[in-house]
Amino acid sequence: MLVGVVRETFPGERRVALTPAAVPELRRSGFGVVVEAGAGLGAGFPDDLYAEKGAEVVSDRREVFARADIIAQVRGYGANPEAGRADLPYLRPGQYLVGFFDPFANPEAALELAPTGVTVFALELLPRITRAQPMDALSSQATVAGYKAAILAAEALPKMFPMLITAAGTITPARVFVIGVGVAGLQAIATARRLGAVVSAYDVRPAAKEEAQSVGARFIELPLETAGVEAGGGYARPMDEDFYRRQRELLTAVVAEHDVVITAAMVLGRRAPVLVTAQMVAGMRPGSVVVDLAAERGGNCELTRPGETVEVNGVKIIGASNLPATVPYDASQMYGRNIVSFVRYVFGRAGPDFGEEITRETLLVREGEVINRRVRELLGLPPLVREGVG
Amino acid sequence: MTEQGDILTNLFIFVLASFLGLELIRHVSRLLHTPLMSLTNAISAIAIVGSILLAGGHHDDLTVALGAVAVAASSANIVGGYLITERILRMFRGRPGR
Amino acid sequence: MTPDRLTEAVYLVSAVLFILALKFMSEVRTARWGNWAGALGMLLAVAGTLMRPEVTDYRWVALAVVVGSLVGAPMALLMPMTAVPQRTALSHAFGALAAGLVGTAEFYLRGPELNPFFMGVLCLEVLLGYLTFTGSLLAFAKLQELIPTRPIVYPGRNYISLSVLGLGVLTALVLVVNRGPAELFPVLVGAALLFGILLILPIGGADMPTVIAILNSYAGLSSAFMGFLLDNKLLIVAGALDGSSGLILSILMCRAMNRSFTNVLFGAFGRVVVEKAEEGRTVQAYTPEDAAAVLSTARSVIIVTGYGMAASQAQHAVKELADLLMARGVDVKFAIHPVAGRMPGHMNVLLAEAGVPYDLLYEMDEINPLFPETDVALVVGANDITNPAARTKPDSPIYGMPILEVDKARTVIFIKRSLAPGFAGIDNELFYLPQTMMVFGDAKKVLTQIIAALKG
Repeated sequence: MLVGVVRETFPGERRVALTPAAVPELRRSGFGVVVEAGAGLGAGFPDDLYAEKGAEVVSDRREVFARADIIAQVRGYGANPEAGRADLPYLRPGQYLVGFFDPFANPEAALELAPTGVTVFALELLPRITRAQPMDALSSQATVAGYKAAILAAEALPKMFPMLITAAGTITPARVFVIGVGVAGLQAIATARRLGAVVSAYDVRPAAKEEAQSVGARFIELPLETAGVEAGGGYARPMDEDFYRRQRELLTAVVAEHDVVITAAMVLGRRAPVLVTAQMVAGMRPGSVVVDLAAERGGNCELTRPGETVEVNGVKIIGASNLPATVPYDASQMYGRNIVSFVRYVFGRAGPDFGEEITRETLLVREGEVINRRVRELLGLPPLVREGVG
Repeated sequence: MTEQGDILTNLFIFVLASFLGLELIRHVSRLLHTPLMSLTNAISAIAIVGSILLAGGHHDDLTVALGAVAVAASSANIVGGYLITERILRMFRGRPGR
Repeated sequence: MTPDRLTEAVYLVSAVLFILALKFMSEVRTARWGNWAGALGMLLAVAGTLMRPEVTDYRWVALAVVVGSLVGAPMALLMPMTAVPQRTALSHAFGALAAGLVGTAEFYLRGPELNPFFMGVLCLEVLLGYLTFTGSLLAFAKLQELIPTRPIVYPGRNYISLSVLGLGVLTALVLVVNRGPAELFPVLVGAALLFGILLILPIGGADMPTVIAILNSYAGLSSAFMGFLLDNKLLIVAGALDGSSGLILSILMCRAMNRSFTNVLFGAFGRVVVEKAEEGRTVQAYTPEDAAAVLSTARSVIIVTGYGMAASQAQHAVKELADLLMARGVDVKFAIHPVAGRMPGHMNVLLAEAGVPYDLLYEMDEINPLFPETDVALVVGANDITNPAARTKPDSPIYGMPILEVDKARTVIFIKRSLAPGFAGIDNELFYLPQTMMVFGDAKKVLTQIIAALKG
């Protein structure tokens, strides 16, 4: 089978779905690789590196779509709604698409993809089980985002992160507060610690406490009723407005005493909960920094504007957007490994086994139908009658 | 034959030795259970002492015969026991000369 | 010095050597000398005995020693190391037989001259000697699977065993009180032989090692009684040492295997004992001091870290241990599994914080081929990533996940808080393997104790 990689057309996206290092791995498993010229340039991988590793580099994007059986992308149509439309005519029936498709925020894209006859695997839908860890692109990219968030905060903060006792006085360490201890949050904590900050963390899920402590953060406990908040897969269930109101009250004091607040609290498939209000920001010292990793999902902070940095009362609110694309070299390296693992797993032997858990769960579109149950709900479609398509 | 006093002396020795055995083994590490079992097995072949007295002494044939078999049996116990213990201990050895 | 005095002196040295043998064997550091001390003690015991004036004819003794050695040596040298318990049992049988035979010979030689005390002591010696003889033979047969290893129970076994024992005791009493008739003696011997079999029959193969330790104790007692009979202090000392240490050892072994001592001992007398062979798989729990002992003899160690180290924030202790081992010339490597911990790079950030240099860190594919040649794999709070079920059990939720092949190392030391399952929620097959030493406790605490034991 031939795997095709095209240049990412989403504005600002510099990642590439496969790095040169991934090519020999695919070839060893019997896959051919064809790459659009310039696909890896944004991430730091020139064309000749791809060719060296055994990929075929072609100058015309349409040729990749015409020949490849599997198209690997970072941002598939749903995650690239405007520029991605241009690729739709080139899709062939029976072709496979693998990548991020943002199915819950943008379910209509699935509806548009269905009639083309392609089979779409959306990596956001990958089950969060042990066996699937090598394919978990959400985690690998969230790791990069979390790391970068800490770096951005350190850059924006007028203070230094670590403690220094010098002849010119003592520099006190920065106090960093991370809300949302998922993969991104944990990495943000770890990076802030590496830079020397004192880190506190909060998450509505009780299980997160030990995990936060395991990377050296002090866990903030709030007297809230958190029974039933675990949604599985590292996500929290959406709670009612009263809960969030009380949470914000309690967080106000904590937020006020920190220099940096990094928010990474997301709920699967919905708008991010607002955890930091304008009022809470007003209580922060001038010079403080808020980095909102949920900016593209509505934002954990009221004042967030995705992709922009807003300054209110001397407090900078950074609406982080597409952070992994700002570290494209390693982000692509990891994403490429995820793709390779997924492709080898699903297309490895005889071909996709749609009864198998990972293959089945990750499926978004097939044979002209939107398959994923939750996406169908969002689109207002009735559930599919037949179980186990194909 | 031995006197009453001697019996009491022997009893003293028996009791003291029993307590000694108890104290020596009480806190032994689990690692050493197997070699200890094998070592004490070898030591219990001390019966050879009584056997030699019978087999080597000036006695009737039956006694000497029984004694000889006893010597053979306890010799098997001795040789087997110490060799087994040695093999078990060899497994513990990490680096030569340490 | 008269010949007798010389012998006594030699016996004294021999006794001291036996005591030292036990003392040395009770600590790993000195264990190897324990065997030498014991062997030397036995050599002196034999030499001292040969020197005695009563021993005039050396021919039979020499011949018997040669024959016995020819039997004993192959028994020890040709066995696989997994067969230690049964070989020990067989060796026991020989020793106990010797004790019984000596008692028998003494009876026929001097029976009429013996006062009640000595007759009593002789009877005890004979009783213990023969029952240990058959009991040990049966234990050997069970462990060698010549007969079924499961407990063999039959209705009324309590009564039968007790009556056989009762017969033996009764016979002994009659002999003691009446000093005869001599015809009763074979009855005593027979009862003892039979009781030995009946005692061991209902005990399962899993409990055998403990039982062998108890039989050791009986053999020792038998020799001690021989000592009373022959007025030989060396026999009394060696026998008593064996008797008490055998008893303590069997209690310790019971505890270590998590079985009730009374259960094992009185299995013959009817309480419980119908344990299925598979029930309650046991793990071998060790102390940090044991782990330190094993580490001190290792030449190569691979440290596998997991979420447990993170949760315990034990990375600094891990570094300290690694430094200590490296200073002693041990080759130390860290194995980092791609999904160790709860986030990507979890292990890296902690080990970096502790100052572990990058060049000690190895990825899974690099380090897996090295496990078979490694003396010790030290697992600190990692679980699923070491579970061989991922390789062997197709229905396991982690089947197919590549793991760190820790089970291929010579010894595995596993530090864990408890037997609770890890992230995948399943049991780890590694715990039950014979080369695995579990050390339960908080990672930071346990590592600190290991470091202290290594330094001390």
